Amino acid sequence: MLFAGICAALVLILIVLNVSIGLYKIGFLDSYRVLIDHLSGVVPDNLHDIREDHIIFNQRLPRAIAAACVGAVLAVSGAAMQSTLKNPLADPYTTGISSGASFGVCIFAVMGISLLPGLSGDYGMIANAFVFSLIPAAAIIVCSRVFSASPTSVILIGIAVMYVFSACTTLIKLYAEPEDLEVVYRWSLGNLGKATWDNIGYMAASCAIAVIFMTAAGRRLNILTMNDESVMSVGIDPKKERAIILAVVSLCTALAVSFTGTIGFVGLVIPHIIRIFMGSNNTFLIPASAFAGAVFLLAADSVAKVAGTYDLPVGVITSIVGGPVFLYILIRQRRRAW
Amino acid sequence: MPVTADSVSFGYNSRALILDGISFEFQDGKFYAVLGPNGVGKSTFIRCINRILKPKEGSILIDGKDVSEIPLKELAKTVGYVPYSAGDSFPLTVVDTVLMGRHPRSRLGSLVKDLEKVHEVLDQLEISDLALREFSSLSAGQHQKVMLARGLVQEPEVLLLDEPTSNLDVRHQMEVTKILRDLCVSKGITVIMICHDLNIASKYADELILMYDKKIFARGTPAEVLTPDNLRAVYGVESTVIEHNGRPCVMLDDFIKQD
Repeated sequence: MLFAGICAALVLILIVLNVSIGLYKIGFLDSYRVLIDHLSGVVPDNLHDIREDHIIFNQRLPRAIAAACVGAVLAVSGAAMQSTLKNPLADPYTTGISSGASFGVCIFAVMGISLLPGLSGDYGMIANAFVFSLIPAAAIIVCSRVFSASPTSVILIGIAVMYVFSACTTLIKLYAEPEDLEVVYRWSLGNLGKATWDNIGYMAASCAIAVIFMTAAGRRLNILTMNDESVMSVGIDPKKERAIILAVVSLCTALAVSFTGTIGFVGLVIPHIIRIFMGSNNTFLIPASAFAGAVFLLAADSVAKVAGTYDLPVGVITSIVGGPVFLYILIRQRRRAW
Repeated sequence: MPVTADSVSFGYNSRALILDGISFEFQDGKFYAVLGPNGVGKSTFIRCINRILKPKEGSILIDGKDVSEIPLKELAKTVGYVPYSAGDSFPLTVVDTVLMGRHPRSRLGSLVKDLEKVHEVLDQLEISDLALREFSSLSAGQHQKVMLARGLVQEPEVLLLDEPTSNLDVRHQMEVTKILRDLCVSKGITVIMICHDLNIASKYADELILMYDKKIFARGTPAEVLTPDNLRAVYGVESTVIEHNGRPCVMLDDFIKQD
């Protein structure tokens, strides 16, 4: 409970810090005041306060909440995938979500093909990313059920599907105009700038589903880390359970990253950092990863906003900052994490 | 709870059978040791009993019900299984590992009761001091005791064990096998254990099943099964069998050279 309290407080502090950063200067304490005033129903009565309230509440807060939600989804999904597939290299994108989503974005940006014809602009791209991200995931889940695939086979099927989608994406990019390429490229690096109050609900929903479902499945995830005959001997069908976990992870990750682009590193490494400090019991690993993922992506996005005059992609920051930090923890670790 | 194997055949493909028409009835509360050389289908046989493998032909009945029709979680309440290897991929503590065995009986809010049962079994096996150690850091012998604990917390009526004493020293082999023997007597659990130590099997088991060439070669009391002729035919060894404390004791003389 103490750990949860500390993490929740840290998330709140980082949200306030995140919303205080931007081209229009608003201090940390002022941001806190603006948020509290808004939430307690105090109506700003002068132009300066109205402007600050608008910037913080309508422009920056959705982005900060998106960072927390997407960070939590990616970290929880990564932890669940690693346990389910018994592989420390698994991450939320192991089912080919990123390659499918990239392909969806690519055919929208370059060829103007939208799966939902009524949608255009960002929403058309998001819808394409979401639908296409689920295609490789569905293929993997179906293949793994039909062919009774082992965890290693699931990963290999994922790699095969990923290569197919990546090749198709590359092929389309060869014929793309430079401005279209930029859209695809920026999306592939991950950016939280598209978060608004209109779409934050999707990311919050994916976060809630992922965290609640996987926390409830903590003990089952522990069992899935054993070999399949050990899993069956305690009454769990490992193939069915794997398919369910893969489906939930794929759906939640696809929903989250369709809005933000593929943000790497969080899903792969945050669970390992938590394992080093807290062990591999998924009952604790899952909620702790959720908090740590939220904290990490909020911090990374804050750095991205400070470092870039033109909004650096957060995916770049997660790797540049996170990589060395992870290496340091790895070298100093006293506990075997995998 | 009686377990009946009725003409069970199994093979990963139809041309190469691993089990060929095995029939046997395991009676309630008895201790069975399954013996035989490597690769004769002992592990395959007990994996068919708890549905890890599905027989190509024949059926396994537990208390008269076909195991293929019993939901996996219900089956795990009745049949416990101690595999040869757990194949853990991430380091969990011994408590977390043993707690897995409570899955078939766990409900919302049952964690405290489940943990009490885990500690009770750890005490019973005298491995409470390992409770917070990482499972993957244990010695092979400790590893096997933890897996046995995981099987026991399932509170099964039938316990299947795949070489649970293979990595234990003589004293610990006897300790573990005696615990299994006591479970048979005190709780009426049917124990079916794959074992390579003929004398341990002879000392503690009620009945032995000697497998050879995909079939049951001999079955019966230790005195009926552990004969020089059977051992020569199945293992290709010459032996002398003496009686010790009312049980046969096998002394190996030499192995038969094959041309």
